[in-house]
Amino acid sequence: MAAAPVSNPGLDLSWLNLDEWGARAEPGKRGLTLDDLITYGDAPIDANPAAKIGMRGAAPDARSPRHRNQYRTKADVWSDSARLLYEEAMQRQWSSAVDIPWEEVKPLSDDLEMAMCTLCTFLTQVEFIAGDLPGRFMGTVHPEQFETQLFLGSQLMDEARHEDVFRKRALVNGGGLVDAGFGASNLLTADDFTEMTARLHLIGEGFVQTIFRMGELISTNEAEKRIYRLAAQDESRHLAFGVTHLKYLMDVEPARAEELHHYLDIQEGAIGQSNGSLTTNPATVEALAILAGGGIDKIDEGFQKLMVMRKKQINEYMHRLEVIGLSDRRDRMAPSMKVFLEPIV
Amino acid sequence: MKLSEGTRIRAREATWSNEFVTKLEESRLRDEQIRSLLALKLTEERANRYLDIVSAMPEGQTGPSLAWARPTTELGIRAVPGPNGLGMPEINIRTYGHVPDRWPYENDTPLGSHPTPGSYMPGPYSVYNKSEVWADGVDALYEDAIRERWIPATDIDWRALESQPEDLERAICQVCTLFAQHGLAEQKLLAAWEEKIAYGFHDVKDYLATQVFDAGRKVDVLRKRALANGGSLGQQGLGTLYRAWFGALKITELMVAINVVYKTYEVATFEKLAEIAPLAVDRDIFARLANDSRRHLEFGTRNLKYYVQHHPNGREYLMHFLNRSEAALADELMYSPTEGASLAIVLGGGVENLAAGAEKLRNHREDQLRKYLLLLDSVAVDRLPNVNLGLLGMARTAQPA
Repeated sequence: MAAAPVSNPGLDLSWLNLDEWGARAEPGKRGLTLDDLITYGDAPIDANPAAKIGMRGAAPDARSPRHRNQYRTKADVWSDSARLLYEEAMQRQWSSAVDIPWEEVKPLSDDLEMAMCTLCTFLTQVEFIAGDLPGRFMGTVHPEQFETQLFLGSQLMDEARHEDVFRKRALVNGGGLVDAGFGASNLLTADDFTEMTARLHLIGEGFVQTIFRMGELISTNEAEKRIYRLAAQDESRHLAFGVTHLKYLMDVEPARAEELHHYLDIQEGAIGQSNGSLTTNPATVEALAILAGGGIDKIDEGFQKLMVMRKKQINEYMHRLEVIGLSDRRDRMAPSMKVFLEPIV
Repeated sequence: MKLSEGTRIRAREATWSNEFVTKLEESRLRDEQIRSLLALKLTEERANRYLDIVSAMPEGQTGPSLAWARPTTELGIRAVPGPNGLGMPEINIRTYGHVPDRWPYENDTPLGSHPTPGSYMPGPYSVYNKSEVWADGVDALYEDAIRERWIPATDIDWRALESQPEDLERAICQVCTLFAQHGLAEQKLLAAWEEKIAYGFHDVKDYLATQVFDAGRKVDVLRKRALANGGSLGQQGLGTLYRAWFGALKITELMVAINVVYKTYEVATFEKLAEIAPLAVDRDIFARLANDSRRHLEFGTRNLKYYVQHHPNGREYLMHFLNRSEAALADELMYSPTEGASLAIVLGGGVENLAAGAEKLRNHREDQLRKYLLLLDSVAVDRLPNVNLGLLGMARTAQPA
């Protein structure tokens, strides 16, 4: 019920008389989450045509300045899981300073330590790219789809922590960073939200997540295992955002499928040709093989395990494409990746 | 292939036998690969096993390059955890802790590393001068932000919210609406500038990521609060404040606008609400927000201090940055009076005490301005003679209509 009209000479109290009133969002089992607020206004299909900064559901101010570069169509930025993934990110923040048992890192032979430092140098490079790029696109999210912006903000935090934890690992056990390779700067050429999601979240984060989930294979101690477990948990959220955004897009704007395929063409090609990937960059491939094999004198065993990882990366990627609704990618995938696909049973 | 003299000497130092050296010379390995094996301090036995692996590879393959095993970086680093674990300050040691005045690399080469020739492609970075972004102790602020994290969904006792008079509820909801909106803008702007900051200043990039995260949490908790206790979102803020943020042409200008000018006002308001909000839950929310904002203000202050002391034109540029930022804040407060009016109701304890609330608001504005000027004094900037007249006026007179 609206309040009785209030006025006072000298102060503008008109906002006291706004009609919207009576919201009582109730906390659930996971506390008071963004999902619990939806009764009081979900993200609209088409955002307010005025690109202004204001909270969804607030009474608009006609004088507010406009801002360029905000998407107006929900499909451009939305994920039905954005709220859930944001809340999960809040619950699962961790500290690289205290949540990693650094005391478990013990002296290693030089080949293993340098291999680990090589891997960490690469990861500390690319993890920041994975933060810088979503940061670029947060400004393009219309405030009426602000949940996407909040999720991307949590990703920035996650990526900063990854940058820091791999740097810490490189500097804690007698090694150091090595010379920087190509990194993942190529991803920064993305010029559209969905392109960013396809190339970064679906492919980039997906491939890294597979490696992290197989962290047991390349870890030499409990600290490293914990790093990979926690980082994989974060990457899973980023990947889930990408998959659910692209699925939403395919559900509501299936005509954009070809555009999406093209983004995948770009990134699959880049992975195969630019040495910009964990399992195609020569330095990280060699480092991973040494770690997976358990030493440079068992690098052949490591290469075999790496092939298993590569196959897993590609097949998990294909599975995600099927979830999105792009099963036809199987026939269009870059040849260097397609060879790893398991046949359809 | 005959080993180079240097490699031969290192092989002797590694106590590799002459027979093994001969075997290496007859193998497909190149001299630089063997130097890598020596750099990795392999025993002859392990090196021999590796050689067998390479020898078994198909004809024409020379095996892994192992170039990464001979980096140009400083090695032998053993960072030791401190009282708060292995924080960023603990790893900022030796060359890995030396941040140059101007970062030399245009790609994502991390501090302490160097680009590999042939793999060096420039990125989108444009902030290469340390004086523009640096703040002493930023590494510790980053760790503080992580240590002091909290979760709106579960750390706030939402079920303890109690009914309160409608005018007070509406006033709190209005405050929440405005500061949540500011959080959205703050988050967009800080995130957008991240990619422009050169990689060598990763401590600053990391810290800003925490502030982006904090800004999102502010949006989150204030929206929840507005929708949790029988009220709703209120009137949108005008948003002319953000003209100074979106219009910042240099990152230091953005930092001054958000983390000095605006944050001084925000911290004071959050601290006041943490003290006088009628409901305990609200006091808890604003106390948490105030703690976050103090960290942002601390970063802003240290950044400003570094800037005026180290940037050759820092003092002159700062005057212009302050002029624009203060003007935008004054315009927001004057032309979007909902903040002042809603604060006046909370400060007065209800709409029936509006006159008393308006007087307390004037005191609050004075307090905000005083703290702002003191902060600038602390970095050797005497701002009082040039401070925006609108801000000065609000501190001297009742909230303008």
